[in-house]
Amino acid sequence: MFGRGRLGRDEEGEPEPDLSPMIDCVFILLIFFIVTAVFVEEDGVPLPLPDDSSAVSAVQDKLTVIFTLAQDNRVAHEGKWISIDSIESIVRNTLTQDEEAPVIIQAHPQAQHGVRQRVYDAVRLAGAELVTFTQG
Amino acid sequence: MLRDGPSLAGGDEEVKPDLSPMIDCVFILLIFFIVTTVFVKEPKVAVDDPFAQTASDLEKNSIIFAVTADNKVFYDGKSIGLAGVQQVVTPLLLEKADPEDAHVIIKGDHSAYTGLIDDIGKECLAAGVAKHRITTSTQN
Repeated sequence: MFGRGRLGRDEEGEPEPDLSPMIDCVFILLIFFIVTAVFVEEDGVPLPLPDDSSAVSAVQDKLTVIFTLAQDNRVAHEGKWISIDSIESIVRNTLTQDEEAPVIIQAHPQAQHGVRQRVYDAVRLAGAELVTFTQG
Repeated sequence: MLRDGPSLAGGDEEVKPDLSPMIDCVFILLIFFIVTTVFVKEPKVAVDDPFAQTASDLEKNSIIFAVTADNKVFYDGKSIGLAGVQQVVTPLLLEKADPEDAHVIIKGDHSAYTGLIDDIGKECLAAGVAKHRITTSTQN
């Protein structure tokens, strides 16, 4: 305080408090928050777990499309093994008859998550809105 | 600078630059970082997310679980097992003003078991997370 702020511009010659410690402090806080800021950028899709009542009503719908994912990650539809590439066209065909046709992806508990996500992605790309994951 | 020219003090002290605009600027940065900082606990394990074209951005402030290729469940760098999911989620829901707001991200490795992913989702449902707020992460 002594002798420092005298240099102030204002003519009254009021002594200015020394701001440097406060600036140091603010800088430390600033650096702390910059360092701890994590910008988590995650992309993802919902996990459509079955709702017991809706699963029952979906099965009663005639146009329900069911894909079965076996333990060895093969996909079956209506009793036949199919390739993942054909899923999109199957779903599209059903949706032309009924836009709200539900799709059930029944996966073996030990099937791979990545394969089921590929099936799910294909179903969503085909435009299906009602998708449910069940275990089987 | 010109105004400071004829120094009143007249001594040999150097003319100080005006620091106020810089301080203002630093304060604005500081407030920005304080406001945007969310302390998200990351699972801290390497997970190979499956690929999806239909993915969308997920909520930033979420509870993140990771399922590794060898079917272990991780939260905040620790393997917690399926039984630990509810123990993690329940206290975090109590902290929220509105439990309906809680989001869960399950980072499943592409070769993890679907059954385990579903079971984590079911544990979260049992703990009170809304169904439509449980997501799995993907890469684009």
